[in-house]
Formats: sequence, C-alpha cells, structure tokens
Amino acid sequence: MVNLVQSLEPRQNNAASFRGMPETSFKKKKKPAVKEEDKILPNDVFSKMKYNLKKTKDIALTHFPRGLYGAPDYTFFEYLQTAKFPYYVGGPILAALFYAGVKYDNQLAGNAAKKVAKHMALGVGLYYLAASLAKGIINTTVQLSRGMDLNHPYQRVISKTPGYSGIFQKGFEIQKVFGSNEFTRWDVLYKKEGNNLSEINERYTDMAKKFKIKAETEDPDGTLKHLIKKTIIMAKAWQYALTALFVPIGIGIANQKAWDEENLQEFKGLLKNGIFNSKLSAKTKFENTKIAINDYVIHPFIESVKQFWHGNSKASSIIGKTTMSLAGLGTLTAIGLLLTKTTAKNYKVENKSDGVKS
Amino acid sequence: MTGNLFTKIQIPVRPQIQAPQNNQQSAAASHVFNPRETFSRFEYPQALPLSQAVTVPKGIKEDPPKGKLIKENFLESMQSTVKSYGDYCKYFYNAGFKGTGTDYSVGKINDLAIRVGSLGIAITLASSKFFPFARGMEFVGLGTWFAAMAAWPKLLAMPVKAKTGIDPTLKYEDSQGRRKSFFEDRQYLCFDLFKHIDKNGNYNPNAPEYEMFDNIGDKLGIPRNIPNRREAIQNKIAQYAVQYHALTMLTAGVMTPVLSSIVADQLQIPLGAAIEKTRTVHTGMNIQSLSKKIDSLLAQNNLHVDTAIETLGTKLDPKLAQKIEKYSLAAQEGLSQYISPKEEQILSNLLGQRYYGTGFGAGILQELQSGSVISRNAIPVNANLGLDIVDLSRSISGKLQEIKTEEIRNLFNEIEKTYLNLNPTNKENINSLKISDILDSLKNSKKGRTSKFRSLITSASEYGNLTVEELKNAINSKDLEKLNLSKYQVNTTLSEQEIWRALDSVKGIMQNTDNAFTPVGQKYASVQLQLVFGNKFKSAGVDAEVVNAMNKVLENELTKYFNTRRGTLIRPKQLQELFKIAELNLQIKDKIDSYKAATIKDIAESVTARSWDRLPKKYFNLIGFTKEELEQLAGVDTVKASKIIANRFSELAKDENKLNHAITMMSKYAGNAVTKEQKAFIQLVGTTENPGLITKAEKLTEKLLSGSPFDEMRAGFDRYFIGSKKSVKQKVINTIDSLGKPIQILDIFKTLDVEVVPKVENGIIVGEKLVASEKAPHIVKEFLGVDTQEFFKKMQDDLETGKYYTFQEGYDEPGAYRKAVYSLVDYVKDIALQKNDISDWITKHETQPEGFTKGIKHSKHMVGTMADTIFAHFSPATRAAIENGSRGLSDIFEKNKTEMRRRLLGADSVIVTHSNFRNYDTNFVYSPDFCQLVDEFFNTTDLAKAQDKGNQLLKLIESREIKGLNDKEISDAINSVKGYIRHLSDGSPFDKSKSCIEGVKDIYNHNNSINMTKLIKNLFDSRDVNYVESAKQRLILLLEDRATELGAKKDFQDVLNTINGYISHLKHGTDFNKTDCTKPFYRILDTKTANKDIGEMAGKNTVDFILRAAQNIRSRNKWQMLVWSLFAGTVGISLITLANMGHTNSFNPDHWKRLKQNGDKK
Repeated sequence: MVNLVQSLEPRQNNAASFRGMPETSFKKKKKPAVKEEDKILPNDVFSKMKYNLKKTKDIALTHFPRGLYGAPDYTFFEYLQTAKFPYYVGGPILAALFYAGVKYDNQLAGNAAKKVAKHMALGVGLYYLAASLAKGIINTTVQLSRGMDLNHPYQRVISKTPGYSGIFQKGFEIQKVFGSNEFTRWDVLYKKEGNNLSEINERYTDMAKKFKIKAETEDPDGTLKHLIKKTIIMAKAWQYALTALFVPIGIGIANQKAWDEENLQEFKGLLKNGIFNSKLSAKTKFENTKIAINDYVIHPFIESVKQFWHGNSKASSIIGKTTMSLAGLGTLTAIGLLLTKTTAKNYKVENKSDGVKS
Repeated sequence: MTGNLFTKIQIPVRPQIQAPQNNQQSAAASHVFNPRETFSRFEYPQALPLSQAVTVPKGIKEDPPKGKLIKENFLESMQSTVKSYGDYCKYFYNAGFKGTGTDYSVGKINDLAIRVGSLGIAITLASSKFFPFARGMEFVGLGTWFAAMAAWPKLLAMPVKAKTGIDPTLKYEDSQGRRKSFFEDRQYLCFDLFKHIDKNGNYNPNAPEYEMFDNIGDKLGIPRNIPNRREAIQNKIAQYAVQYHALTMLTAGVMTPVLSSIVADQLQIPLGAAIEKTRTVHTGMNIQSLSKKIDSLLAQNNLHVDTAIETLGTKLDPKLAQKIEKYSLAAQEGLSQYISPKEEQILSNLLGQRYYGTGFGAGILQELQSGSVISRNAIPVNANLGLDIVDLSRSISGKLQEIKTEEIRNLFNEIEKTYLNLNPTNKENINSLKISDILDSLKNSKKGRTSKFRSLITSASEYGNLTVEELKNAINSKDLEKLNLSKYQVNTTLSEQEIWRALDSVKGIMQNTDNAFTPVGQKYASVQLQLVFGNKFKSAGVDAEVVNAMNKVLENELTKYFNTRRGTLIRPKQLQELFKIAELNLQIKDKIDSYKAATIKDIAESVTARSWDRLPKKYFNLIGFTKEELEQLAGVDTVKASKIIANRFSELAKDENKLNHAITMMSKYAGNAVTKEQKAFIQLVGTTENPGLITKAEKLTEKLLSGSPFDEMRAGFDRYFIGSKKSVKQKVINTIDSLGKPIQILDIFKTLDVEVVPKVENGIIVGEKLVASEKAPHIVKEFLGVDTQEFFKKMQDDLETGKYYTFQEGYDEPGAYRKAVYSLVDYVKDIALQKNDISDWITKHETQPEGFTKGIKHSKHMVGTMADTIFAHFSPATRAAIENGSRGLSDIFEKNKTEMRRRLLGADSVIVTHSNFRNYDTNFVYSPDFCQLVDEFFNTTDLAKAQDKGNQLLKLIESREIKGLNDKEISDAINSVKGYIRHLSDGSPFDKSKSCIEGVKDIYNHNNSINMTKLIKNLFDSRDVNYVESAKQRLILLLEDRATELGAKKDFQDVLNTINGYISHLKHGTDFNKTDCTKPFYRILDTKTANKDIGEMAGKNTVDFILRAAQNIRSRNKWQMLVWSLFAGTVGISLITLANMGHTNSFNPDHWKRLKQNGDKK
C-alpha cells in the first residue's frame, strides 16, 4: 500500500526544502553563463526526426571516435549506440555480397541469381520495415491509450571530464524518457517552470486521465509511477516479441514471385523517361509516379502477401498461414494486454473519512 | 487542468488511491534527491577515485556480495546459454503478461526475440525452396551468421588478451544472478570482483589481493613505484575495453557477413555431398524394394490387378476411388450404370487431372473415349423398353391421324387465305361457300396457275362437296369420315412378344456384356421394329401407303423416344481396372521420379547437376588455360573462343607427357561422373539379363493389360515407357559424350600437329612439304598431297575434272600449299571443337546437288573422311592414359563414339558409303576408293600383291558390320576374295565374272548401304516375294536399332502388319491398298524426328563446355576477390587499431612513463 503523503515527501523536499538551502555551501561557478540542464524535448514527428538524425550522426562522429580513443567518460548509452552500427550495416552487406556473386558472363544463371539478389535486398529492407512496424504498433497503442510516448526524447547533459578539453566533446545526449523502467526520468516530466502543484503535475494529470483514474487526484505522479513502469515493461516485451513474429513475414513477402514480374531495367526507364524527364508536364510526372508506385510497390506487395499466404507448396502454405496468423494473434494479444493490464479502471478511490467512494 | 482537490471535489480529506494488487515500489522508483539537478547553477568537481570503504554504517548490516566473474569453457558456456534461454522465456512471460521485470530482463527478451525471429526467417525461406540443398543452406546461412557474430569479437579479443592479459569479452554475474558483460558500462566497472583473482586468472582467496592487476600492469609497462598504481591499471584496462568495443562494433558489420559468406561457401561442398549421398541411397533403396515386389508379381500366373495393388501397397486416390466404388456398388445392386454427361465430364476431368503430366494420362483419356469403358448415348435393354415400345406402337395410328388432320388444316388455311386475298368482299359469307367454288375461282387466278398451288388445289378437291364451315367443323371435331381419313384408323397393334422378338434379333449388334443398345444398335432396332410393324399391318390388310406412313411415324417416334432415354453407360469393372493400373503406375512413377531427381534428372542438386557444376571447371584447369585466356574466354563469342581454345588444346597436344597426365586426370573425374550415371541407368532401365525398374514396370503393365480390351491405354503406356527409357538413355549418353569429347579432341589435335616447311632439293627451294608425315593426318595427305608438287597436281587434276572446287583460285601462287594445309587443319579443328553436332557440316555437304558447280563435288566423300577423323578410335597412348585414370572408361567412350557416329552417319545417311572406320592398328592406307581397290585386286595376277590387297579388302568388308547388311552378301564377298587368292596360289577354279566383282563392290555401294527411305520404297515397288522378305528382315533390324526413337511398339507393329499384308497380298492375292501404305514408315522414320534425338543425345560441344567453365571460374574469382579483400581490409584496420590500443592519447593523458617492454622496438 502506498501512502500518498509519504510518496510525495521526497518530491516536496526536492522542490521546496533544497531550494531554500544556502548556496554558499557550494563552490561558485566561474562563469555564471546559462547552464544546460536535463530537459524534456518536443516529441512531434519533425523534432524526432531531427533528433534521430543527430543521434545517427553522433554514432559516426562522436561515439566511434571517442570509443576508439578509449574516452574515460564513455557511457553505457554510447556503448548501445555504437552497437546499432553493425545491426544496420550487416544485412545490406550480406545482400551486396550475394549480388556480387551474380554471374554477369552467363546470362541465364545471372538472371536467376539477380532475382535471388533482388529478393535478398528486398528482404533486408522489409526486415527493417517489419521491425519498425512491430515497434510502431505498440508505440501507437501506448500513446493513444496511455498518453505515453515511448520514444519521447529528453536531453541529458553530460558533464565534461575535468582537466580535459579535447575533440569529440559531448554536450548532451538525447535519450528516451521511458527508455528504462528502473531509471525512468520522472523528473523531466514535471513542468518545473510551473507556478503551482497542478501546473507542475500537468503531464502526469493528462496521463492519469488516459490511465482511467476516476477521480482527480493531487498526486497523479505517485499514483501513476508503478503503472507507467508496468506499461514500459509490457510494451517493450511485446515490441520485441512482435518483431520476432513480424520479420519472418517481411522476409517471406520479399521472397515471392510477384516481385519478379517487373524488372529493374523497366523501372529505371520509367524513372528516367517518365518521372525525371524535364520535357513532361508536372501532371504527367505525377501520373507516372502514381503508376510507378502502384506497379512497382503496391501491386507486387499485395500480390506477394497473397502468394505468401497461399504458398507454393504444402509446407510453405502452412508456414505462410501460420506466421501471418501468429503475428495477427500476437498483435491482438499485445494490444489487449496493454489495454487491460495497465489501466487504473478498477482502482478504488478511497476517502479517509467516508471509506470507499466509488 | 490539474484540479485543486480541495476546491473542486467535495471531499474533506485527500483521497487515497490504491492499486488492487500487491504493488511494491522498488527503491529505484522513489524519487531520489539529485543535488545536481536542483542546483544546476553550480559546477561540481568530479569526485576523486574512491578507495574502498572500510566502515560499515552503524545499525545496517551489509548484504554479503554474491557477484563473481564468469569463467567458462566452450561446453559450459553452451550449457549456460541454453539454460538462459529458458530464463528468458520466463522473463517474457512475466513482462508480457504480468508487466513485471527489470531493464536487464527486458533486454534479454530482445536477445531471445532476435534468435526466434531469425529461426522464423530461416524456416520461412527454407519452406519456399524446392530442393533439400537450398533448404539446408538457409539453416547453414543462419548458423554461420550467428557463429560469425559470436566468433569475430572473440577473435579480436585474442590479441588484446595475449598482449595485456585483459579479456575484454569478460562476463560477470551480479548479486542478483544477472549475467552481464563486464565492460559494458565504462562508468560502472566492478573491479572489486578481481580482489581474489590470482595472476593465472583463477579465484584464489589465498593469493595476494589484485594479483592479476599487478600482472596486467607489468605487461602494460606501468611502473611499480607510481602512487595509486592500481587505479592507473584500472583506467588502462577500461581504456582497452572501450577501444576494443568500439573496434568490434565498427568491424562487426562488415566482418559478420564476410565470415558468414566464406564459411557458408565452404560448407556447401560437404553439405552438398552429404545430401547427394543420402538422397541417392534413400531413393535407390526405395527403387530396389519396389523392384523386388514387382519381381514376385511377375512370377505369378493369372496376375490380377488387385493382387498387384496389395503387394505394392498402392494408395489409391481417395476421391476417385470413392467415385468409382460408387459406380461398382450401383451396378452390383442392379441399379443404373448410367451416368449423366455432366457426371462423365467430371469423371474424365478428375482422371485427366490426376494423370496430367505423367506421360500415360493421354492414353487413359483416349481409352475412356474409345468405348471400352464408357459408351455414350446407350440405352438400357430392360422390361421397360419392351413396354414403352408397346405403348409407343399403340399410339402410332392416332399420331398419324393427327398429322393428317393437321395437314388438311394447313392446306385449307392456305387456300382460304389466298381466296380472301383475291376476294376480300366475300369475307363475311365465306363459311357458307362451297369448297369446290372456291377452288374453281382460284384455278383461274394468276396464283392458281402456279404448279405448287395447282397441286394444293388437286389435294383439296377431295373435299369439294363440303362447305367451308362443314370442313372446319370436321377438322376441329376430327371427323375421320368426313375428312376421308378413316383408312388411317388401324386397330392392330404389336404385342410385347412381337416387339421383343424384333429387339432380340438386334442383340447381336449391341455390346455383349452390357444389356444396352449403342447408337448403332438403336438404329438397327428401329429398322427391325419398322419391319415387324409393317409386316404385321400388311398381313392385316392395311393399305401399303398407310403402312409406309405409319412406319415413318414409328421411326420418328422411336428416335424421339431413344433420345429421351439415352445416357452414358459406364462399365465399373473396366473402369476399376483401368484406374487401378493407372494408380499402380503412378506410384511406380513417383518412385522413379524421385530417384531420377536425385540422380540423373537435369535439375538442381541432382548428381548429374552437381557433376556438371564441378567437372567443366576441373577440365578447364587441366587443359592449362592462362589467366589472360580466362579473361578473354569469359568475354568473347564462340567464334573467337574457338580459336583461343583450339590454340590451347594444340599446345597441350604437343607435349606428350602433359597431355597424357591431363587425359588421365580428366578420365578420373569423368569416370566418377559416368559411373554414377550408369548406376542410375542400370537401376532404371537395366540390361536384358538384369532389367531395371522401368523395364519391370513395363512388363508388369503388359501382364496386367494382357487380355484386356484397353488398346488405347496399352499404346499410351507403350509410349510412356519408351519415352522414360529414352530420357534416361539420352541423359547418360549426353554425359558420356560431353566428357569424352575434350579427350577425343586432344587425341585428334595430336595428329593434326602439322608443319609445312620449305622443300629443298640440291640446295634449291623447290616448294613446300609436310613434315612429320607419319603423324600428319590422312585427311591432309588425301586432299592436298604431301608437298607442293602433289598439291599442284591435285589442283590441276581438279581443274580438269572439276573434282575439287575449293582450292582452285590462286592455287599456284607461292605459299598456297601452306595456306591450304593450315586452313584445312583449322577447319577440322573447328569441327572437332564445336561443330561435331555434325548437322552443321553434314547437311551442308549432304544436300549438295550432284553436278552443281558451287561447293565440293565430292563433298560426300570428304564429309565421310572428316567424320572418320572426328570419330576416330583413340590412339594407343591416349587409350592407355584414359585407362590409367579410370579403368574401362575408354571402352565406354569408344562404344559411345561408334554409336554416335553410326547414328549420325547411320544406315539412312547418304554419306555412309563414303565413310569408313579408321583403324590405328593396321597400316591401312586411308583410301576409301573401295571400287578401285577391288578392281586392282581382281586385275592383279601376282600372288603376293593379291594377298596384300586381299587382306586390306577383307578388313574393309568385315568392318562393314552395319546392321542391315545381309550376312550372306558379306560372306559371299569374303568367299570371292578368298577364292581368288586361292585360285592364284593353287590354281583352284574361280569364276572371275563381272557379277562376282560387282558383288564385292556392292558391299560398299548402293544396294547394301541403301538408306531406309529407299529400302521402304523398293520394298513396296518390288513384286518379288523373296526380295520383300529379305528387305523386311533388314528393315526390322534397322527399326529395332531405332526402337527408342519410335513412338510406341504399336507403331512398330503397325509397320510390320503393313509389310505382312503386302507379303500376303503377293503370295495369296489378298486385298492390299498400296496408296499411302508407306506413310506410317515415313512418319516414324521422319528424319527430323531422328535428328532431334541425335541433337538431344549428343553432348555439349566443347567450346560451350569450356566457355561455361571459364565464365563460372571468372565469376567465382571475382566474388572471392571481393570477399577476401573486404576480409583483408577489415583485418588490416583491426590490426592497426589493435597496435595503437592502450596508448596515451588526449583522452587518456597518463601521468606515468611507460616502461620498455620486451616486444618494443629499439
């Protein structure tokens, strides 16, 4: 049983008591410039894209150089970021190596191998797509039902190594607020600039509503914390599970005959003569683009989904149906569990004097 | 929006919200005060490294730390990995369904998901592959991928560990039992765990504390006397770990796929071999067990198909079996055996689908159509039929009356209409008018004068005395008296007995087994009934005209009746038999096909496909092409390639030792491949003494079908079995031919090693001559002569007689002889290399019209000579080299060559008379002018000379062992030659008549080597029974020789029947239609068909063979180049980084001076 008052105490200390402490007990900073501090960042699509770009750039330009130099302030975050590099590079290189095995001298064998290479490249692409789809489904569910954006970025300021002013210096890292369930950044969710408790708690209050807490409470943060933790754990577990279920479908779809119907040469021709052709009007270009998307993406995709479902042999038919059904079932289970297990619907609002209220 | 609870909700005290479940908040969850966050405007100096805490806070008891370093060998780590996956499943259950877990456990779910997802991918990909090797490779690929992923970091760690003693892949288990990588978080390294680790890396509480660190510090060259040495060591270890990790992540993305590709590529060889072996053995065992069962069946007398099905354990197609069973049951219960046309369509569709693509499906459908199983439009002959016909016969009279009345009504209507048209005013009173008046007025009208209308009037005048109204009433009331139709009122009817008597007389025409009338039977029945019907009425005194009219009605009515009763008659017993035989063969075919797919079928992963993948490359390397040639070959067309290849072959042929070595090695590889395919041939087709499965299945089917009426089905199976055997044979011959050709070419090139040098007489160059004339090919000597003089003479002769055309122009120019020799040699080389499919040159010369100025006049002779060169026997040296490589292979090659040559220059080829087998063992001068030799022989009176020439002649005659030659003719010729020699030696009598000499010449000339087309024509042109008989025998031999090229045995039988018919016609004067009698012969012996077979059987031409190898090798080289350069590049980067690891840099400004190490540069 959580005593609300108790759970609020540290925060009150944090907010009030320490603020009043004499500052002289700490050494004054030489330059009292604007101090960067950990803060939550906007989570709209464009901002996220911007941050992701920066994160990607940082892998190459900051984390790897720092790692190769053996920086003493190298963090666990950097360790994880560099690990993404082989994940995204390995697959395409494997496909490229296969493509290099294509026999250009022997046209028949070459064409057959090119097809396989094409499927392989498609497979790599659809693998990443399926993985992000699996994550996206869970993210969207959580965001819509709980108001939590699992990818909500925040800025974490990294202090500089004393006595060191070298290259590749980090100012801050962009991490996720709900990235960890053990070290969830509750603090950045408070609106520190708020004037009163309700303003400070605004984000928590919004989430509380989504979590279906029936009564308005003054300590939504304390009430929500364990539910948020639970949501993070469940969502992550299902993100991983769905990824495992989705990627075979991506690969399966990439390996269907439907993709062989159109060849690359024609596609290049269409791009060159039909779309990037200065002589054509904008309308024709638009129409051609529509045709291209339909013929080279949508149509083969739909056909290949059908082919994957039906299969070309008994075994592949069973596999196709099983993987797709399992993925569907898994998705429904995940959404169902997230909606039912993380809600505060059956929480009782207790009134100290009147007992149970509703 | 946040409500102030005190103001908004009417609750005096703040509500307490409780979770219904047990909900303990972890320590981490409670908000911890963070001074940095709160007092961000201050800067905090980083804390100095802490020494170990020595005091324990009062009142709090320390938990005993349980963390430890993990030290496992490979097996232990495998064990713990497997165990941990079980834990991960538990983590997933807790996290996914209960929402409990830690960052660690959730992270581990990711590990689990990656493995499961990858396995899912491999299964998905494998399921879409048709071939076991491809399926296997998906898993090999997955395995090597993970292995590479695991191995690369370990490989990179090795030099680090060797140099410094630091293991950057170290793992530890924390107090909660979670296994983690020791160095994953630079900011949280539990070096305490090293406290009791001794210098060997083992846990030893008695060793000095941090002994291992000291060891590492020494290795790193950290001075012993610096303050806080351990901290310096720890920092250095951490630096190594971070650097190592960054390097691993940087290179793993490239190295994992590269290593995975290399390993998977290498694993293909053993995997392929293992799968090949398993499949061959497995399917071979299936075939043998089936073969044994068939043997037992063949030994039985009166074999029934059910016994066969039971013995072989055939599983019938349930859908069809059920359907056919239904028909049988219905027939047994005496119910209808008739089915609707729609039902029939469904049945034949089902059968068609079931046997589609089997090779015998068409025969079965044709059998279905032919009437032995199904009769269309049949009528059951049962009691109902008699009764129905009795009813029908009774109604005839009435029907006839109705028809006649109707005729009168139509007649009168026509008249009335015409009359009213002419006299519209009489419309009111027409009823009271008399018919005769109307007719009279019509007679005079314009229309009435037409012949058609006059006959109407004549017919109608019968009713002239009636008024219109009276006639109308009579028609409506069917008043027969008034209408003069009373003669059609016949009361006599046929009894049931009479009808049955008529029907029984027809029964001979209907099917014997079934009580049914076929359409023919129906027609006969109708005629019989009319006959009985007519006789009865005639005897009853009915007017003949009436009887005829009634019979016509009867016929129509019967036809109508039959049409309504017609149905498709099905014979369930026959259908059952047909179905079972087909199913039996389908089962056998499945087994045969699976064996074929594993061995000789030209599909991926079969034994033959694997041989073809490897052998050309091996041949290529043995022939010794240079790198430049490889590059050229991979990019040029066949014409240029032929030149490069000819060059390389010639080079190799020059060096006897190298050549023999190459041939031995080639034979070794070829022998292996050929043996495998021959094994398959024995299993499937077999020999006469030891028949294979296809032959046995053929015999079984024959046995089952003997005595059955299924002619079409029999023919269908015939075609199917012949086709099956043919395809097996073709494949084997193809392989033997392809692999034998390069060896044969090398052997030919050896003899084509000619050189033309100036010919010097008395110090003056008088022309040019061939050197190494012993080795020089006969073909050159024969056509061009051995030196310039002979060449000029031949050309001169050519100009005068018009014999040769090709070398006419400029033949007397200097160097012409040399040019001619080399171009002829080049031409022969080219033919050997890529045009020995023969049709290229053979048809060109074959079709050359006699006396035509363009082309070589004696081209047939020349082609014959060239064929002899190309298909020559191996030289003894080559033969020995082949036997060295693979015992018995040279005979296989020789036999194949003879076969191919005989096919190409077969009995029906016009050039066969100009060709001869060439024998290396004799000193026979290659002069095929046989007639000249014969003349010379008989003209000589010198015994020694005659004996010499006689021996040559005898050899030639004996070599003419082409099937189709009459033994008598050969023995006669031999006797003639021997007789003449005897005559010369001991003066025994000998009739040197012209016919005797011609008889010998005949061996090589016209009649005896007659082509099949001519033979057939002669056969039917001749009226001499003896000639026809002998021609028949010869034809049978020729046809048997081509048995596999014929469609079916039935075709063969048809042809024989035709000849027998002709013989019987000649002998006994039986009927024989000569027109078109030769057509079936030409159909089955169509040269196009025969050529197709040759084309299919002939092996790959050597230029293609080599080109393919070159292309494959180059592609592979390119790929290997790429993969290995990526490997080398990555390794290079890794090595450079490793060399610089742990050095002082701007990030790690070490405040101590590194001691010199043993390995350092001085």
